[in-house]
Amino acid sequence: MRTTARNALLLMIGSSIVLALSLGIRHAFGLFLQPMSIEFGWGREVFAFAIAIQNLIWGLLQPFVGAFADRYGVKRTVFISAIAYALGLLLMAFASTPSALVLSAGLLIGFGLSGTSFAVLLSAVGRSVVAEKRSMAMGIASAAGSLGQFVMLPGTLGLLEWLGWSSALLVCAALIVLLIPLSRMLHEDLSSTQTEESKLPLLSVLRQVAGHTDFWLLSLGFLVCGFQVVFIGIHIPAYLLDQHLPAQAGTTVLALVGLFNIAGTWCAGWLGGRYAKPQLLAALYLLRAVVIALFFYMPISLFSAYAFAIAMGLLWLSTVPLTNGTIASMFGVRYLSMLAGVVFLFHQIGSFLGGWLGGLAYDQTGSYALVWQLSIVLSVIAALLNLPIRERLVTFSIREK
Amino acid sequence: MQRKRLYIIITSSMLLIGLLAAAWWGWSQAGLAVLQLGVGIC
Repeated sequence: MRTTARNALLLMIGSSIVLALSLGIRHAFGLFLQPMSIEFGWGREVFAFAIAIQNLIWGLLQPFVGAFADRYGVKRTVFISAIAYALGLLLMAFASTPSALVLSAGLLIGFGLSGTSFAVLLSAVGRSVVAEKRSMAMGIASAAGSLGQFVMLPGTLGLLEWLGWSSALLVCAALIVLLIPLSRMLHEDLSSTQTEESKLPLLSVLRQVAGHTDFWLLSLGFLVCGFQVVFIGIHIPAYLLDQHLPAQAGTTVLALVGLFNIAGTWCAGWLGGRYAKPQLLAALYLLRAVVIALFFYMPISLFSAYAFAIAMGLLWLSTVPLTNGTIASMFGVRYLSMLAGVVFLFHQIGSFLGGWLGGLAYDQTGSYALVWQLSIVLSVIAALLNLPIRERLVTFSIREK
Repeated sequence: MQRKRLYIIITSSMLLIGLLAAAWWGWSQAGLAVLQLGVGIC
């Protein structure tokens, strides 16, 4: 096997492990809310605030950490971020005050996530393969992240029940420490992306990208993705209970979403290598609108809830390889991590709105109906936003420098 | 070479199926603990 092909394979395997561990552990944080709050006599707001800060820091730092990764490579980025992530988990295990929790779970882990999640890793994977194989490679790495989310949650719950919350966090920290030596696997040959364009100041790159309508259309579409997945992820169990379904239905629905999400992200990557990615995204958002509408307007039963979970699972994070792949098709791979970071910021704004508006609407109206309807409308809008996007490679103007 | 590749594919598929089955069992055991904490795949 040639060195470059071998490096690309190692990079994809390494990135998949980083994504699975990083996103898997982050995904299980909700399990620590109750034991920590009870032990220290906190209201739920303390833990929720720390996690809100984590999401905010993650989203805000993503473009900057992405720019660092574009400049210095994924190896160094994962190395530094994994140290911050592990340190955050270690401090969280001994946090006994709200400010210590905000510093550890909020700031440090938020920073750690920005260097060990999709924007940085998928971009490195995308850079390491030829354009025709890029979408498929991104789909495989995304599926690994989804697998981590599905597997780590019950695993962390088992650790929590077996060892208690503090020791469970120490085990999680030890798992993240593994990413530090693993980062050596993530070897990138950045010299292939070093062109005249690559010497452009980042502000000039951002200014030129901002002048392309398609970039904003893609970003706004991704905001809708964040809105829907967080609204459904957080509020579906309560919604099903309101509809008089048994409590276990909520867990099964979340598990089905997680399971089919793995297949969905993989499939999306595969399809993205064969068809136009923006049109696939448009179809995906339109399908989400249909699935949500059927679920919301048809009579609810266990069958319809599980069918909804399977369909939504297939459409869940399948937007990730397609969105990142579209950015690569439009702007090349040199600034991919930074630009994916900017688009991810929109996703996080959507996530914040989806989680928050779901709760607000329920408190104000006593039902989730308004947010379900909003989700359908937003999905149609996202489909329309993605439809006119064209995967034309943009050449950066050197004169702007 | 082909036999080695087939062996790798079968072994990794079995490992993946085992992992997914174990995780599914874990989810079914998690029950209310997951619901009460508002955990979602997002």
